[in-house]
Amino acid sequence: MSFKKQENQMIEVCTRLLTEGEVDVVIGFSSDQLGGCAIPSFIRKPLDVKDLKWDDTCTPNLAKYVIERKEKVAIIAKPCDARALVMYQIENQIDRNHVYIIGMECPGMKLSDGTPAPGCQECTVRTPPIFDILIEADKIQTFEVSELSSNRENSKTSFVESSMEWELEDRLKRFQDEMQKCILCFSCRQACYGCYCKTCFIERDVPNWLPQDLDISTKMMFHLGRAMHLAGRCVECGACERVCPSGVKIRYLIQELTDLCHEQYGYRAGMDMNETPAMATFSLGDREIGFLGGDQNES
Amino acid sequence: MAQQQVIMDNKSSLDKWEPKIIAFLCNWCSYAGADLAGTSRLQYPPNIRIIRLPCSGRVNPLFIIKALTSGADAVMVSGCHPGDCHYLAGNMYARRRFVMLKRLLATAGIEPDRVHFTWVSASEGNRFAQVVDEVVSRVKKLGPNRIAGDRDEL
Repeated sequence: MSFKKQENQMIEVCTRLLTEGEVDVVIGFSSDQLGGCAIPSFIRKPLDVKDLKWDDTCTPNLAKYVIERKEKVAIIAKPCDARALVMYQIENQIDRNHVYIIGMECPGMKLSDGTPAPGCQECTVRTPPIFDILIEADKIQTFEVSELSSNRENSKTSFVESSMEWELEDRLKRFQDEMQKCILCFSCRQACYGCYCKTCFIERDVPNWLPQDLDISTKMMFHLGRAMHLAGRCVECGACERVCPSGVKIRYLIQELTDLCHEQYGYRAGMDMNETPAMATFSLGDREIGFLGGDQNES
Repeated sequence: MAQQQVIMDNKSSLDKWEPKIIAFLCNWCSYAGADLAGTSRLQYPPNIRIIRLPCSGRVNPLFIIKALTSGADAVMVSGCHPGDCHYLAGNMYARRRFVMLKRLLATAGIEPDRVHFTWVSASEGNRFAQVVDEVVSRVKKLGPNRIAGDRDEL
């Protein structure tokens, strides 16, 4: 199948890069030995390249492993990984000359139970926006792609667009139900490409943003604070939901901001290296939605 | 429903309930505007606690979330009118941030009237008093903050 073909091409490219010494390490996916989901793997010797795999379980976002790496790195990048790398470049977190991006066309990944991974079903970016070499998927996959993305569009209309029309009480209830599940393990932050601060606001003592108890306002502080930090930066990789041990479906908050950002400022994170992120710039005609004495057509 | 519940529970104390509102004002316009309202002897409700900041661009969205989760009944942010910022563009960045925050809080089910953004210049003492009036009356309609649970740190 098409994955196999991509995998062979990928292994070929990685072998060449390592034998010619163009990179020191390849960051990719390998099997977890149990036949489940692929796990991140670091390959340094050309002989080990055969351990790399590429199939529909390659869910982790690898971009975060590239940060602060001194050696030259090649990375197997799905579209979402590549978008994260674009953001890293914009935010001066990586040196593009030290990162070799092996872009993979991606039909969407699956969890071990066969359901689409969070974010994959509604994903509209199937080709990485940035790459040094692109490993294309063949025709069979493009068919699957269109099938998947049409699914996603359906889920999108039913989900995000309607969310502002819900009654306030429903929104509060949904949010509180999700918060109830959260155990504040911070896995979502660890997995998120965008959360690379050396000291996260939740770990600061002065000011102490996050109280030490496990009540709902603490969880709100964390999740709303994190959502604000990701406003207009989320690359929709779904890592936050995928890693959550309690199944908190928190992505809808950030998705709402991502959509608002796209609608108001025409910006989508990680699609163009030369575009200034929406929250780092402004225009004189920005609408003041919901301001006192401003645009009132939206609450 | 839940809100009514809270109101019922607090019925006895609700009569004397007065909202606590945190106001983040920029030093150059809104704080001076508040000052002018004071020196002009304008009457406005005493429910706001003013925190002075150098610029509305200094308002970290975390300030607002923290205030709400710690028991403030509402938050109000005011800065210079767009184009009049002492630091040229601080309020322009803030404006985008506030639009985002407002939508985020609405998505999470927090009443839109718990957070207010506006512009008040140093010469608008009257407008400042009006804005505070408006904010306080809207918050009184909402009733006490139900996010923070039993917390009452303020």
